[in-house]
Amino acid sequence: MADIRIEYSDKTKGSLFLFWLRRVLKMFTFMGLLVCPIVNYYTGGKAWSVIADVSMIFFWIEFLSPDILENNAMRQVFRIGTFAIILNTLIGLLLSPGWLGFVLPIIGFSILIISVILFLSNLERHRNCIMPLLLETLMALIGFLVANAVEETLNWPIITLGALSLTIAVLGLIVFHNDIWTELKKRLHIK
Amino acid sequence: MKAKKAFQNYIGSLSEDDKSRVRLFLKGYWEHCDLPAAEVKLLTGDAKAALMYLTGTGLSVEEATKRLSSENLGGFYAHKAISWYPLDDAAKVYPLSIKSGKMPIFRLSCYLKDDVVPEILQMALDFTIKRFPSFATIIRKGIFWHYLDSVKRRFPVMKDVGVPCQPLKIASVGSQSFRVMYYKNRISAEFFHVLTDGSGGLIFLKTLVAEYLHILGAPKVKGCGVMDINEPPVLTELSNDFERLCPKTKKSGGFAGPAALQMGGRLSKNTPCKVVQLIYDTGDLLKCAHDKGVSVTALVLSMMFLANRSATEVNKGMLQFQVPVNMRKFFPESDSLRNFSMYCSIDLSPSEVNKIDEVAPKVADQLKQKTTFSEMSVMMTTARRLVTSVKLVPLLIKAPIARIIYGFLGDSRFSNTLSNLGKVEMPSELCDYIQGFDFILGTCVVSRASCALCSFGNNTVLSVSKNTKDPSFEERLAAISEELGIRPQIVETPLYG
Repeated sequence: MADIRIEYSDKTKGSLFLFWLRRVLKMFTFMGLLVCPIVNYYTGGKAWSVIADVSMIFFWIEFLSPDILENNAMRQVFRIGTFAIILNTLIGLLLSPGWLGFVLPIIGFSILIISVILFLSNLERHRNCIMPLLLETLMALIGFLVANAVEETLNWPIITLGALSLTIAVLGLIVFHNDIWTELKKRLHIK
Repeated sequence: MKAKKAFQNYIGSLSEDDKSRVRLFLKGYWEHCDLPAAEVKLLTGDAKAALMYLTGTGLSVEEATKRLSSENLGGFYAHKAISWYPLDDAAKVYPLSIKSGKMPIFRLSCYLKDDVVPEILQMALDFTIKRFPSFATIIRKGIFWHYLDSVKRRFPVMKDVGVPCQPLKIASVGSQSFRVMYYKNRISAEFFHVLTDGSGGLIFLKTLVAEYLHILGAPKVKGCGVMDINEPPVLTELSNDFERLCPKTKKSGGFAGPAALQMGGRLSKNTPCKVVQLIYDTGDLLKCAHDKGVSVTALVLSMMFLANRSATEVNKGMLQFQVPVNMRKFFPESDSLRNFSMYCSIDLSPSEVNKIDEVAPKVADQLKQKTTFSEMSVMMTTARRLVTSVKLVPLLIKAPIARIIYGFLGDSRFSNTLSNLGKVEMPSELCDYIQGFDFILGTCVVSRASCALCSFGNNTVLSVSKNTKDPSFEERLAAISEELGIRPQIVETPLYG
């Protein structure tokens, strides 16, 4: 007889509800991805199925098959913001044009504000997670510079976006230049 | 609140001398922690709970505060989390292939003669983790590869409930890539394979157990894989030894191969859905292996081939078993605590798998041929070349391609796995406190079982992690053992999913 006492807890099987829910939702989403373009093609009219499909892809990525690594709040805000911009751009281009130049910068600076608040809410923790904020600021600055070059007069959301991103960039470089440099070295594997 | 009141009552019951000792003791903890207030509170809470436990056993406050001295925290909780570690070559594939519910996890457990005291285990972990900085990390995405980013926090010990080797939650900023658990007389450490392999994990567990026993009164020892927790980590322990020690051979091979014959039985939703452990008498197992003229690994592999054969009704294809090979045996200069293992494949056609006396020599021959230094060098070089050739491809491109390839191939290359950790040794001063060790592998995606073996003293534990509820494999394994005269004691977890 072995002289080792091995015992396991009696806990019975865990719930598989979420597993099955996710599986059923994946099936419906996949069906939707295929059905929407077909219906849109035969019924004609505007290309609404592109928007429907992009939304379903977002739903899939964010909720049905979420990233296992680094799926933290900062990244979620970045991803949701990116999807909101993509989706609004598509709606603006394909369904009802004319308002993109006004709405996109509002979404842009809103994401920036949310990210900054989130970053500052737990500075110690998010110091190592500065990359999404960095990318958002960079994208906002590029957006502002492009608008500045293309448009004759700038509307207030664009001006706000530019001012905010520039402020964040300058303050960020002054206060967090070490963190930014450390983060870049890690991401690029520079010792 | 309950703990706070209990500690106030405890302080109230002490003499003035002891009160000042405790105050000084706690001051030391505050000085050694530069973490958010909540974390410091948790760490000091651990110290208070452990102090109350030790003095409750009759130990003087002076001796208890000495054993739990804040000096054991070192600078770990006071320094900023700035270290990071590139993944070793073997670990690079893991983050590319993980998906929800499937993560390469393994567990190492130590069974003590007495039940575990959670308060003391927590303190032992608080002290030990600083010696293993590459374990106090979380995996993150780089531009070209994933990397391990250090995390400074208190790592909690947990009560072990449910099935072993469940996936870890590694998505949030301060999460962890390993966990330490306890249940009755067992201390278990589970590791995400990106951190380390079985050898590195075992050193961590041994050091943790030694520190736990030391706090409880055992002598302070090192050696036999037990490290001095207060020594600074050696740089080579943290290195990627595939890169550092890769032999200069021009030959290279490949990793792909035909799909293996899998056991029957529907794949379960929860993985592993069950763990079955066969506990053998080490002497009997050794004698049986010697009688057959083979090693213990070859004997167990032969038994597994026979059991695998009877767990499927399909005869087409090859039975291919993955056997990890510890590269440290070829490179004694390696003291890496990271992954430093390769593997070989032992292949037999089902028609060759009939009687153990026929199978064992064939398995032993293949093991001998395929685990030589030259074979392993070829594999190591191939891995190195593969890593080097794609190093400048951004992760954004590499990850989906790897996921698609892995999705098609999965782990279908192997029917089963046997990882033999061999004989576990502990310093003789601690052996009286320990019953044994076991080693459990997490399950793969397609293979219905993964096996792991290790021995301590008279016990050799073969752990079978199941991916299907079909019991044919383990039942046949037990029957074959009985036929060989090495009847095992069988322990199993409840069935999950």
